Amino acid sequence: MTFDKQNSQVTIYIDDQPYQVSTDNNLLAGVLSQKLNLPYFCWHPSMGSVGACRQCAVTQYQDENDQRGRLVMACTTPVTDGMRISLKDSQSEQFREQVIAAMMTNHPHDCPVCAEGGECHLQDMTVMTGHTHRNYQGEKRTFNNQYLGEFVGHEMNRCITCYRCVRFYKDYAGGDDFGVYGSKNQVYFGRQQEGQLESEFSGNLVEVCPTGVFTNKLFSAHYARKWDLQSAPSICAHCSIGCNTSVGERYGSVRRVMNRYNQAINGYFLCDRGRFGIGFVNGEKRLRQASGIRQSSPERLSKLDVSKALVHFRGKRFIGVGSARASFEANYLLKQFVGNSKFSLGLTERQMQLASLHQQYLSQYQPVSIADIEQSDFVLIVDEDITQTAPRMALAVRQALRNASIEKASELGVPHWQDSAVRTIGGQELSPLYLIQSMGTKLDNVAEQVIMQSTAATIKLLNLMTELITSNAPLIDIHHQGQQLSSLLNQLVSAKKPLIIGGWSRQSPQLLSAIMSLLDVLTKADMPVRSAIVAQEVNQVGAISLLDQQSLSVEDILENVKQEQSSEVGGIIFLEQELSGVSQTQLEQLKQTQLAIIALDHSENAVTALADIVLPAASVTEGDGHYVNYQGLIQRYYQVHPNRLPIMDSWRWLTLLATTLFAEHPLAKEAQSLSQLHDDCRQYDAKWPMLPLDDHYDIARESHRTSGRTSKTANISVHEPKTTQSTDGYRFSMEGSKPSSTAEMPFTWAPGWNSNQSITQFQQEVAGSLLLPMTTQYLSIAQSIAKYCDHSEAVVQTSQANALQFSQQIKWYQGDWQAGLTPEFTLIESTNYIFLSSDYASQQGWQSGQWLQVSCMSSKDNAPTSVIAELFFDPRLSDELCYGQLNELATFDVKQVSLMAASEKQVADYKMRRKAEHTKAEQAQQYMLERLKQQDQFIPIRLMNGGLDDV
Amino acid sequence: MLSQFRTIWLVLKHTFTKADTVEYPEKKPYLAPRYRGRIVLTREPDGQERCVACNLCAVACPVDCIALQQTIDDDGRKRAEFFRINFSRCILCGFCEEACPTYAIQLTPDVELAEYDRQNLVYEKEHLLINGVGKYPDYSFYQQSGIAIKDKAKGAGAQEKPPIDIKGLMP
Repeated sequence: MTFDKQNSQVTIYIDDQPYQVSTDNNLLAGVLSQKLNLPYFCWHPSMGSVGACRQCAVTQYQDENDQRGRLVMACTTPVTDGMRISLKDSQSEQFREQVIAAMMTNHPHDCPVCAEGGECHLQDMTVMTGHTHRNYQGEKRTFNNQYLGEFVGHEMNRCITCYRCVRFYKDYAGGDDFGVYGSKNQVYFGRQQEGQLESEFSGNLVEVCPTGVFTNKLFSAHYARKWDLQSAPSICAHCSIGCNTSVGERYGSVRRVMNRYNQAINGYFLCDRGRFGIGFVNGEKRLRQASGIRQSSPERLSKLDVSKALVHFRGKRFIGVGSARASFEANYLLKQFVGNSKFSLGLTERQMQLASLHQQYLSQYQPVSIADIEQSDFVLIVDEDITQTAPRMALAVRQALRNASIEKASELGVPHWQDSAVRTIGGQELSPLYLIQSMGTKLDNVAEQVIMQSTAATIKLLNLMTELITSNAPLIDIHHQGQQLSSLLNQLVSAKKPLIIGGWSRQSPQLLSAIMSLLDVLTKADMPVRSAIVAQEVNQVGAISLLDQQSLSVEDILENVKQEQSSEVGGIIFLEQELSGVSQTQLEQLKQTQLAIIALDHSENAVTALADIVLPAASVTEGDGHYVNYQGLIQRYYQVHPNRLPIMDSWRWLTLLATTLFAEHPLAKEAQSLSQLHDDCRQYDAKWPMLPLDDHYDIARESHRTSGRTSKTANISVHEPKTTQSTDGYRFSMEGSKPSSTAEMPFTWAPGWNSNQSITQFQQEVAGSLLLPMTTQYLSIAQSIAKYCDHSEAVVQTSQANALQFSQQIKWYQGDWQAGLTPEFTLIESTNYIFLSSDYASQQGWQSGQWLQVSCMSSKDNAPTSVIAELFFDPRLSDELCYGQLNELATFDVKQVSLMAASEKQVADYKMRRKAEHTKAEQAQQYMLERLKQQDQFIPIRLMNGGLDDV
Repeated sequence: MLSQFRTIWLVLKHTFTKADTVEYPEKKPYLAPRYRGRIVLTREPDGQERCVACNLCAVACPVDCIALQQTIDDDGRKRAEFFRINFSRCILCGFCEEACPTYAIQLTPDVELAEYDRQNLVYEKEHLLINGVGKYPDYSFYQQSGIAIKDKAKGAGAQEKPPIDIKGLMP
C-alpha cells in the first residue's frame, strides 16, 4: 500500500492531554502511535480499516465545553487538527467492554488447549477492556472445523468474525480458495471444500487472526507457550529476500518461526516457506556426528582428534567450494585459506556467467527494497516466477498494483486506509503489471498483459525494446506483438516509479544481459527506473561478491581433479554445498578421485555421501553469522539455542581446520566468537566490508516469565546447571538487559500486549520504522569477474520431430534444498502436470485431464528420460511451448520434451508410487515427532558456548 | 529482680501445662483437607487424565519447579508427554493449583516429603498421577470446552448448540 506522506503532524487532545499525531493515518493508528492502549480487532496496520468489529470506540467531543460527546470508531475516523477525544470516559469504556462481552458469548472455554493462549490478541483486548466475568448463561454456537492442509489448523468455534483472515487471504494476498460464508451468527470462514490452502501466504492467517481460529499445526504438534520459547533474531534462510524472523526453541529443539517486523523488508508478513520450512533443522537428514575422524574418547570429538586426522595433508593445497547458503564469514574464510585461484562456489560455467552479470548489475544499481516495491506504479516481471522463488516480493508487487485505486480514491477524498471504500472505488482498476514469461504464474490474473513465450523469444523482445527506446522508432510495424508492446513501452516510459524484476531461475545469462541493457538505456534516458534481480539462495549476493577472475567453476574443478597427479592439490573442502547443479557422472568423477574430500554441512546430501571426512555444521538456528540479501543488505542471524557438539558453526570448523591445514595463514587461529573473528579479519584485510560488531550487551533470549528453570534438567541431575555462557551478546537465560535497538529484540512483547501485534509499541508510528532501528549496512560489490560476453548459444534446435520447449515450474516448497528437507513439505499433494496449448493438444487428439508420457531431453544425463504427467490446457501458449511441473526432475534443467499418451498401467503405477511416497512422508513426520519428544527430556548441558573443547 | 522471679514462676508454671508439640512421627497432627502439601495430578470422573498440559501451573510457579511438554494423542486429547515437579525446590505455595484451569493439579495434606537423596525428590508424571478426582468430584474439562475429542463431537458439550450447517440457507 502506498500513499503520499504529507507528514503533517497536528495536535489532538486525548483525555485533555495534547499529542502530536499524523494526519496520514486514522485516529486508531494515531492513538496507538502514541503508545496508548486502545483495543481493536478488525483493523490491521497493513490492511487498513473496515470498521467491522466496533471495538475501537472512543468518545469525540465538539470542543472543550462539550461534556457529552459522541461515540466514534477510531479506525474509521480521520485525524483532524485540534480534535478532542477521550479513551477513559465511562461511556466509551463501557461500550468497549460490552463489545467484548458480546464476542465472548460464543467464544469457547478452551484457552488451556488453544495454541494461541498466552499470545492471543483477544485475551489481551479482553483484559484491556476490563471484561472479567461472563454474564451470558445460554448455549454457545458451534461449528465443525475443516482440514486446511498440513500447516494451518482450524477451530471455528473461537471465531469473533473480525474478517481479518479473509481480508488478508483474498484481498491482500490474492488467494481465491478461502472465503466467508453464511450470515448473522453463522458466519463461517473457510474453504468451499476441505483441502490444502493454496496460497503461499496461508501461514500468515496464524498471525493475522486475533484469536486461535487458525493455528500453526507444526507448532501445535510439538507445542510450547510463547513465554517458554527461547528466541533470537534470525534471518529466513530460504530465499534471497532475507526476511527477518524470530525463531523459538524449547528443550533443545526448534519449535517455530514468527515474523519479526522490519519495515523495509518483510513488514508484517512471511511466506509459508519461511514460516514452515524450518523443520529441516530437526530433520532426519541432519548430520549430528563427524565421520571419517577417529575419536580418542567415545564420548566426544576433541580438537586433537581433528588435527590428527588432517595432519598428513599439511602443506598441500586445497580447492575450496563455498556456497550461497553458508554465511558470509564462512565463505570469506574459505576463500582466504584456499587462495583466490582455488576458490569456487560450485557454480557451473553458465552460472558463473550469471554471477558475473549479477556482480556487474549490483555494482551499477541499487536494487529496490520490498517496501519500495509497494510504491511502484508500473511493474514488469521478466521470466521469473517470483510468486514461487521469492514469494514475499510477489506479495509486495500485489500491493503495488493497488496504487491505481488508492490514487483514484484519494482524488475523491477517500483516504488510503479506508480499505473497503478504496476497494469499492477502485473496482478492478490496478496499476499496470506486465509479465513476459514462459509459464503461467499466480500473478497472471492481476496482470494487465501476459506475454507468454519462450525465453529465447523474451531475450529478442527485450533487445528490441532496448533498441526502440534508444532509437525512438515506432514499433507497430516491426513486431507482431506491436500493439501489446507499444502499450507496455508507453506505460514504462511514462511511469513515475517503474519497476523491472528479473532473476536467476531461467539460468540464462542472455536474459539477464538483455534485462541489464534495457535498464542501461532507461537509466541513460534519465528515467526513474528501479529494479530487482532475484537470486536463488539466501546468501547468493554475499557469496558472488567474493568471486573474482581466478575463481573456479564446477567444470574447472573437475578439470583440476583429472590432473590431480600433476598438481599439488591435496583435496577439496566443500562448505555447505550440495552441488545441485552437477550431474551424476560428474559426481562419479569426483568420487573416483584420490583427493581427500572434506565436507561441512548440516544435512546429508550427495556431497557428504562421497566425502572422506564429514563435519557437522550448524544450521541457521544454532549458528551465528551474516547473510547478504538480494539488495546487498548485510543482516545478522543469531544463535537461538546452544549447538550440540560436535555441531559447530562453519566458520569455527574452518578456523579449526586451518590451524592444521593452513597453519601459516594469519587467520589460522581459532576464534572464540564471531566478533573476535571479525576483528581478526579486519586486521588482516583492509577491505573487510563489515562494521565492527557490538556484542557487549547481554540481552535475554528467554522471556522474563519462562518456566521450568529448576526442573527441566532435574531428571538428569537435581543440581541445576549454570546457564550456558554465550559470546554473541545474547544470553541463554531469562535474565538480561534490554536490547539497545528494537530491531534486536529476540521476540516481540510489551506489557498488556502479548501477541505479535505488540510491535506497535516499538514503532515510531504504526507501520513505520522501529523506535531504534539497526544501522543498515550494504555490501559494496565491485565487478571482479571479466565482463560477460554474449556467446549466444544457438537456440537449441529441436532434435526430434514434435518436440516442445518446456519450462519447469518450481513450487515454493521445492525451490530451496534446505526447506525441502522438512517432512511436511513432502506431504503436500503435488502430482506431475503439464500445460499445453489447446490447439496442439486437439491436433494430437488429447483431452484435458488425460495423462501423458513426457520424454525429456535434458542436458544432464541422469535425469529420468520419461515421466507421467496430467495434461491441462493453457490457451495463451503457442504450439511449440509448454510448461508444467515434473517432480522427478525438480532440479534439472529440461529444455525440451516430447509427448505421447500414457498407458493406463503407467498411470496406475505412478499413482501407486505417489501414494507410497506420501505414506513414507507421513511416517517420517511421525518418526521425527517421536524422536523430538524423546529428546525433550535430555537437554544437553554446556558451560561455554564455544568451540569443540568447550563442553 | 522482680522480673527474674516472674520469669522463673512462668517457666515452672509451664512445666505443668499440656504440651503443644506432639510425638511426631508416632503421633500425627491433624491437617485440614485443604492443607497444602505434596502435589498430585488427578483424573476425571471417568478415569481420564485431567491435565491438558496447558503450562499455566509451570508459569505460575514462583520457583519454576514444574516442567512439562504437551502432546496430542490419537483420541484428540492433549496430555503431558512428561510432567516433572522438582519437590526439592517446591515451596508448596499452591499457585499451581490456583492456576490450573482443569482442576488437574491439586495439593494434598501429605507433607512428609523427606528423602536422604535429593534426586529422589524429582517426581515424574507416573509418581504424580493418582487414580481419583481429588477435591472436585464432577469436573470434566472437555465437557466444558468447545473442542472435539474422540468421544465428544462438536456441539455435544455442556451449554453447546449443535454445529451449524454452513450449507444451509436459513438466516
